[in-house]
Amino acid sequence: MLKRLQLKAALGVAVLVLSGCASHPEYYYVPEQDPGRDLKPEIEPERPIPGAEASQSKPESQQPVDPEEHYSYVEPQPDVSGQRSGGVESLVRRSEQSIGGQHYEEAVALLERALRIAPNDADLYYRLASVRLQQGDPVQAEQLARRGLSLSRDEQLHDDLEDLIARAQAAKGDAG
Amino acid sequence: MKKRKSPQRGRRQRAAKDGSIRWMPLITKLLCVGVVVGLFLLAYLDGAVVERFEGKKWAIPAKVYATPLELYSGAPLTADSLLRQLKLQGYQPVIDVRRAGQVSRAGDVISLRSRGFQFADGYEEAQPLRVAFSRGRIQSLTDYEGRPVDLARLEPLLIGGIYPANNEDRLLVKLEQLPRGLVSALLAVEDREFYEHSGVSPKSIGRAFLVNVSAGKVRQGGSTLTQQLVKNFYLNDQRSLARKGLEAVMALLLEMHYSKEEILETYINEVHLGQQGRRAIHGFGLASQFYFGQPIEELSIARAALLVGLVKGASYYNPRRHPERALQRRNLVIDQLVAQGGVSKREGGRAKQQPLGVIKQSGGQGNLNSAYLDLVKRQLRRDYNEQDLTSEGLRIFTSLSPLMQQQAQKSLSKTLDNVAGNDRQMQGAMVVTSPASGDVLALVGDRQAGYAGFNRALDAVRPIGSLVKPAVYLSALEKPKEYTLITPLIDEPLTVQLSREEQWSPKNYDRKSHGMVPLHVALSRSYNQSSAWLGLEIGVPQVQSVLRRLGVHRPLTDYPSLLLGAASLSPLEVAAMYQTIASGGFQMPLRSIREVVDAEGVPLRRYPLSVQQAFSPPVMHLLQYAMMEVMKEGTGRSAYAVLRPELRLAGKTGTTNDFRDSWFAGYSADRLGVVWLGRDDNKPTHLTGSSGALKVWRDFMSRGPVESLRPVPIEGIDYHWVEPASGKLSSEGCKGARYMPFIEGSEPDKSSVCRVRGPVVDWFRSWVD
Repeated sequence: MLKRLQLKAALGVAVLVLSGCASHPEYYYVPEQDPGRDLKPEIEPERPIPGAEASQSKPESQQPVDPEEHYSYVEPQPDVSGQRSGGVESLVRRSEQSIGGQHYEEAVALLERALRIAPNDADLYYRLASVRLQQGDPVQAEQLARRGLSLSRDEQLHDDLEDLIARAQAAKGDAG
Repeated sequence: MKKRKSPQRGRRQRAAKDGSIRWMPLITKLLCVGVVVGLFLLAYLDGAVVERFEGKKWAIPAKVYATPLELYSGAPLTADSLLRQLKLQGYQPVIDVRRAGQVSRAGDVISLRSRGFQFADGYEEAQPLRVAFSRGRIQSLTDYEGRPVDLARLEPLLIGGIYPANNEDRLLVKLEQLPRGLVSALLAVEDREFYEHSGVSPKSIGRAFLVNVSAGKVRQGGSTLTQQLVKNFYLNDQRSLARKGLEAVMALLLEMHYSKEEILETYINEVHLGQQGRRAIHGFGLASQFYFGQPIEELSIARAALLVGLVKGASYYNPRRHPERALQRRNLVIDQLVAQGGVSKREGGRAKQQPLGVIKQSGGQGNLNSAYLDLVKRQLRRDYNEQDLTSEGLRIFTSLSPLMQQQAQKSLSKTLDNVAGNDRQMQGAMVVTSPASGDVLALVGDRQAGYAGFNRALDAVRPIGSLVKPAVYLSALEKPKEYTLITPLIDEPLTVQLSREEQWSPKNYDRKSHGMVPLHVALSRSYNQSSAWLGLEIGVPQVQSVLRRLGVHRPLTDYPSLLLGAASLSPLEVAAMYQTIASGGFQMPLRSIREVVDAEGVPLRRYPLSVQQAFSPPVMHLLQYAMMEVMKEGTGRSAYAVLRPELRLAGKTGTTNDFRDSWFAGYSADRLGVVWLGRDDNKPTHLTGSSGALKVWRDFMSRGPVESLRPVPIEGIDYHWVEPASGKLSSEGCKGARYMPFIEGSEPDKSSVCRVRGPVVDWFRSWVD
């Protein structure tokens, strides 16, 4: 039984090698369940990219030439949902203070700054949309929330965004 | 002043009435008239002197800043890139960092002290930073004691200004900001008795008089600083004895009204210290930036002395053009400073040993950022009047990334040299934006860096060829009941009767027909015949409407030739169109300006992020899959001759009839780049999208760090193993099986033999067959 399984597995691998690789599924698709996992580089990062050296100009510093200086590929950061980098977190805290003081444009500026650092952070869109709704701009509030929805991976946040969209639509209805 | 004078005048006039005028000799009468006229003149001059000196002394051009570099742990950045940026900002490489504006490097660790800056959202403190790098990212950011720093923002690079008609540019500074030695050196060389005299110095006038008499013409001024200021500030630049007199009187008046400090500070900001084309560099504050790229506070004795030396003749002693002369002059200033006791002999000697330290002027006459500044100015002129822009000292914060701008220009210039050689008619343009925010990060409008003429990124409106195809395929994919990525399309010759005389018969690039091809293959290989068939099936009006939703505003032809790219757009407009694709279906205005603040730092206007959903996320997911296939297997695959295979990208090539235009538009997670190559006279170039524009783009992308796309499936999308040739569901391991996305419910309902019987059986079958 065990042997048959092994044989099957080996054959399966052989089939994959013969036929499956042409479609590069791993290039097009990142499994949702495992956001940290990503493509393993086919070339070890310590080695230069073949054919790229010829086109590299000399670095301007006097430091020894680092063949990997340009990093045409940086390994994705493990994206642990719900855990932000300290930089984004401090901007979010400052934006909360601005909102508390009713300095809405300042809050928007801070949240946009945070988005430049973490462009896929759907919660930042939620916050931005909330400020816009507070400011009486339900149209932009709804759109920003929709943007957040297209990025959201978190069920609770998903519901919050949909709720915000509903409120924005209601506000639009009141205005119109 | 006027009030104090009038009673005197009144007394004198009364006296003249009381006394007997007849008795007065003629000469006395004349003298009297002279005194009256003289006093009037004095009162007038006095008014003029005061008026100009009070309030706003100069028109201050709006200053335009690049985006500040944000440092945080995890930021995609390399040590070399940071050093390059710091060099642009005039940071001085040292062994041991002790002051703001200094930097040192030890391997993968960079230590620096940032400068403070007043941003629109608050003041960023100057602080010591230690940045450690690893594999294209900031690994850690701490202070010198090793305490982590969450986020630090470098001060933004000043990239240009909006100058008034007289082209005078200046950066106002206060006396307290001046570095040690600068004022002493200035006084030592230009006016040793500044603090003793009251505007004019009889001693130096006498000296100058002797020189001039012996020379027979006006050779030496003998002017005090106050007189020099009067000359520059109030009078025109001709030398005559009468004007000399006027100058002296006004200098005396100025000294009566204002303190030495006020006069000195005005002088420091007024004096002309250089020229860049038509732009006149005024004041020590701007001169420090112009020659050293440093804020004035940071200047060493030697550098301060160099600037002081320029007062005598900014053109004659121009350190860029006449470094020898400038060095001699600088050392003379240092000698005088030592002689006057400003610094010790030893310190003076050390200062004289230092090199000039003048930075290269970016791009010769022009500015590396001239195309970008052009974009900024066009937008500003829509929202502000010229007067406010050139005089109110506004500060404009833009999205320009100096590093990306440098790299985009380099990639374009270098690649054009490679593919077009000496054909100087071959030109190009490039636009780089952020896919998430629509920020315009870089803009190149000419092959030559710093050329400020025809801005092709904005004004070269050219047919976009196959860059239009995503719009055709998007129109189809929006109907999931009719089209999926594997829907077979006809790739056979076709002829459309446009009018009685005109026919349209598109051909494939390889002049072959491919029979029936799956939709995703037709797009990734950019087949013209199948795209035309598909477009005609959907209808030109539908494709037009999708182009509108992608953000194209120009008039579009109603002819089917639209389906293969008969629409003409500028590279910036193409970027706006692809922005909608790269952002996952959200239209957003491309932004070059983020914020405008006034001279006091009060925000006047923000240009906030604003988005408009134009396509549903699942449809965009399908399109992106096909555009990634372009890169991995289709017309864009030569990108990977240079790029690393694990970098996920999406893009599209474009070539127009007779190779007149070579286009490429493509993106990663963090940058979208659009490249156009072609000739201004619209003659053929012999380049396709992939043999021309793509090479520029891939060179640019290879100078990362670049963030890979992360196409995580979304709600409404299911991935299935399919057999594209038959259009049936398949299984992992089956022959030719691809794992492909489908809008829920649009996946095939039939299964392949392999899916039913298992891959191993299938494999054996194909082996036996």
